[in-house]
Amino acid sequence: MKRYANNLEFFKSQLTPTREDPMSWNNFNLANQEKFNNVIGQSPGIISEGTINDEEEDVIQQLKRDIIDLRQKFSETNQERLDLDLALIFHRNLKRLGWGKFQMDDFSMWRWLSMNYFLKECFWRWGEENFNKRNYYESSRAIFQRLVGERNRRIFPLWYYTIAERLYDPLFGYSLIEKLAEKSRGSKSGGFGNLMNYLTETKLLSPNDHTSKTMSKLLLGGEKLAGDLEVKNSFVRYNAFKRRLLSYASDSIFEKEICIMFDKKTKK
Amino acid sequence: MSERILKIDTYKTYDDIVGLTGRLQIPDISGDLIIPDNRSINLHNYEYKGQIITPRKHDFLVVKVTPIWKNDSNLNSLSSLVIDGENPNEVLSLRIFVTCERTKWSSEQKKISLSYLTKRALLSFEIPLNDVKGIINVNGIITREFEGSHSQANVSFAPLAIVSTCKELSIQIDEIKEVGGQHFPIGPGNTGDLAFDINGLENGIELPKILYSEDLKEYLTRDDLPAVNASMITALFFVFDTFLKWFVFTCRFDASNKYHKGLVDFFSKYSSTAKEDVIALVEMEKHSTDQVKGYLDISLKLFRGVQSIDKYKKELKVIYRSNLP
Repeated sequence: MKRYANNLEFFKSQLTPTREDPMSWNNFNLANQEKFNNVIGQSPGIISEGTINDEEEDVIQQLKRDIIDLRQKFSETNQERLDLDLALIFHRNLKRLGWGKFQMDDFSMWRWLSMNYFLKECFWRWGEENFNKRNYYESSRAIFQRLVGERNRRIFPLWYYTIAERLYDPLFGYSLIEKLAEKSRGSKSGGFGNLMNYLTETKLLSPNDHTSKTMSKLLLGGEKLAGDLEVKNSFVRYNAFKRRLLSYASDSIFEKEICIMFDKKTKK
Repeated sequence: MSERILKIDTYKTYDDIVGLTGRLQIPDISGDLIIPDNRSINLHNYEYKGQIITPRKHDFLVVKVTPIWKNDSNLNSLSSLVIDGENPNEVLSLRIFVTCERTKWSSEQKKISLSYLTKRALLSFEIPLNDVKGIINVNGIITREFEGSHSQANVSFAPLAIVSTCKELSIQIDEIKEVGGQHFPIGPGNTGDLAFDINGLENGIELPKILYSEDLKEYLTRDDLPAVNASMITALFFVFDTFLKWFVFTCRFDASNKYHKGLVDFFSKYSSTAKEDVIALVEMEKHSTDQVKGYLDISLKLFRGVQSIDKYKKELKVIYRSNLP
């Protein structure tokens, strides 16, 4: 796979959309991959290294086709409700290249992959809603943040891959993520957005990602869905117990002490 | 809305009561590699029986760990960490596991009874190399396993409370590329006939990069060669001064750029100059008389400041002494 030799600061200085300069919004809002690639290709000082082989190209194209299928299948569903489906698509396809945790902190590689292939998908997921409301600066900014990755761990394909990596199980495969994806698409809203952010940005170091799976299952895999605040507080509680080795704790410990749902009556 | 208050009781702990010793097995390599007493081993370009080992070529490596009591400690040493009347051997266990901070991979946790510590138990971990990167650490933690029947002041009560932590073993698998840290990137590259070069001094945004000849890579990526350490230490000032010149005269300073901010912190610290003064110098008219004077002043202070780094003189002395006939 190819990667950029330039660091994040370089891209920030070259591509960040600014409110004062509407021209800087076009790179992202036009959602034209070819034009975008030309702009990047002509940027002074930009250096990409490595090669992309046929197998990698095939996997990327398959991945893009899977996203189109997903959009068609759930055309009535809001984009943000399809994040877990996207995570599944990215992970399932990239796993075919033998990728594992080893690849996850190679941000330059993920940034190259994201910027060179996923502008349209990123526009659809992160920019389209604002764009349709004529909030052009906001849409370009959101796409920049995800496509280029203003925070490394939020680079478009990496963010989704990480979510699925935390929920994938060598024995049970994608059953948990499929269950969560179905619930996320459902009519009830829950704290899926916060769950995905914390899965990618919290230090959840545990055997076979036990913590990620247990918390996701307890918070959003059951009948009662935890809200955004309940998800946030659960992760806060987990982080607060520095003097407990919870990375291997049983479901009942997590249920009693970490993943606590508010009682609807006392909530008021 | 009501929020439950987190109740986190403090309790006594006793760290470093159990020590970890380790050895490694790599496929196709006969014999075990012993992790030295300093609890750290660098496998990148490791020389073993005349053969250079490259762990990354393999799918896995095996880490074997033996926990032992340290400094005449024994089970009785832990009695103050359990509730009165409890037997530490029944209530506490030792858990050993291997983690990689960079990829957030963790092995299974292997739990053993503390009574096995006198029997030199050997715990084995197979590390899948596709899941780890850089450095892996072997961790040991003594945990309380059961909830207490009653609480006692300053004694752990909840299951999985950590009452003791062992000093970890560190195994470096890959070359750590940023030897000079993120503010002074260094790596192998095409330097032509030169041994060292600095690239990108004309670029006002990105940090310059220190390059060394590919021919020297096998030596410069090792951290156990006194001559390498000596040449790095003596080259420090030149490198820092070159970066200072670039920062003052070429860099298009951006206060939100973390690398630029890092350089401000660094030069400020080692030249004992206020950060605001460093920034003011960088933002002056390029090559103006005042800017040149300011640079010369900071450069001299930097020469002295660099040598104030704790280990600077000490390290040099150790290296010089190792070369005495």
